[in-house]
Amino acid sequence: MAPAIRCCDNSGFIISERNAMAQNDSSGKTDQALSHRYGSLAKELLALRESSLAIKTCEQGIAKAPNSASLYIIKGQILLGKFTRKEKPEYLKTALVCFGKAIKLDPHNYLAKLLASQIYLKAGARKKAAALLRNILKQTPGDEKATSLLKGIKDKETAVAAAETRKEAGTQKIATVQPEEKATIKEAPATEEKVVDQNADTADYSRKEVEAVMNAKEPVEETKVAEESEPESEIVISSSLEDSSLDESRLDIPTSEISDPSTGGTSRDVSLPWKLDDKVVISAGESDNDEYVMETLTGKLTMFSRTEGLRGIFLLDSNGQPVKIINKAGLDENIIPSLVFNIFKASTNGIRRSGMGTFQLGVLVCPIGAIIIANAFYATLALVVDENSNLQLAESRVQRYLSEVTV
Amino acid sequence: MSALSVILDSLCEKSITAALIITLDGMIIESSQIEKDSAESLSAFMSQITVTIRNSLKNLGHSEFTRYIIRTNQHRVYLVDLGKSTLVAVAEQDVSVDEVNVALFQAATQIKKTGRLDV
Repeated sequence: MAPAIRCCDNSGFIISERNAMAQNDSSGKTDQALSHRYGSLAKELLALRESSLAIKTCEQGIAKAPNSASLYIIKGQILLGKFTRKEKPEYLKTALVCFGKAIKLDPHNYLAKLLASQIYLKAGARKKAAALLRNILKQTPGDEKATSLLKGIKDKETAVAAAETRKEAGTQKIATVQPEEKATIKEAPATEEKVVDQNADTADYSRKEVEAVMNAKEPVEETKVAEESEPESEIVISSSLEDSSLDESRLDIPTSEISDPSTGGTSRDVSLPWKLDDKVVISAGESDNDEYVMETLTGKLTMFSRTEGLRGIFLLDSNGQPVKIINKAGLDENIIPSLVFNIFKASTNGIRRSGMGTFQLGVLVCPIGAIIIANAFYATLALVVDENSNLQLAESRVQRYLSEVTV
Repeated sequence: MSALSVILDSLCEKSITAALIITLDGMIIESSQIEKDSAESLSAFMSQITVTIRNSLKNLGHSEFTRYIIRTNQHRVYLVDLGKSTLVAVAEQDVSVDEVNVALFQAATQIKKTGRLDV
């Protein structure tokens, strides 16, 4: 008889139990366990402000578990943090690559799509950002963040269009009403254009190139209008990216799965000037306090060890990223967290906006079992139990857990 | 009075305060014990939740769910998947869960039997 492998956490709670014979067949499960461990390690290193080590840890994890979307997301988040501190655009670019990979591996990952869309917004690629946001809304209708960002994009596009119309109208007026001054006016813009052209040699030209790369199918007219209407608000950061390890072609996020088919853009080695947009704040939103709360929430999960028919526990942070997964039934650790977070967000929004009060707990009975979804402080807790087990008992246990962690 | 209306009315006699049948795009097929405005708002948001659940389950190779119960600080909202439509029922917090589950199951079966789901 083949020996059994049993993994327990500090408190002796069984995390996974499997037969050694079956281990080779379940490489997917091993990958999930590995990615989870590397992810946790990277987060701990990040808490110690060792971001470079954290990135290396993620990379090592990715090398061992290449199909883990969560490791790519963690790496991307760390890079976003580095960008916030140092404002080096290469961090943002690499983060985008990471989120792209994550989306490819898990097309319904909310966080990856949201953060990628925010990076696109920051780079001025509004159409790609909008495509990702629309995809989020398709998955979780009424999502507040996605809705507000999409609204921001629409407002900006309307403003740009209005500015263009005003400018065209102004030009026509000048042309018809003051023909005698035409010559003088004609000279003035020419001079302005010259100045712009001189600047374009350094920053403006490279920005156009980046936008062309980032936004292969975005009309050229729109780019021009954006440049003309908001020249003062733009701060262009220029940096020469000579990192050979960074494959330019990886910039293409697989949006083919995301409703916008414009992915086949060609990539060139260009310097990266990012357009700063004050409205866009890219952040994973984690603080030391959150980590403390997460530790408390994780520590108390042992309460569920004797729950009847327990198949798995998923504790997600405020961004939907798994913090702790206890998988006893080989549940898909990539898809279930996305499912739980999407349903949680849709329920929270739906209940609040329909005036039915505040969401406390949801029980979804579906073919994979009964999923109890609860709002646990800053996190989302999901308990997957057998459909035939005592749901009321499981619910009351969740209630007890919530009362203990929130006291 | 339509067959669906009769089913919903009888459902509302059993601990349910309001009930409605909605399509996946938020249109109301039939409602009971709920004002038109509230029904429209509720159907819009509940259909969003239904769509989210169904989309999420698709990734796991499933197309339908049995039921989704949402507990809020004021009510309990029940969503029962009927395929192309959803039965939404609102109950008070302290309602007997077993009783409601049985009533909803019976109502869902009756609705399916009416054959008016392909709207």
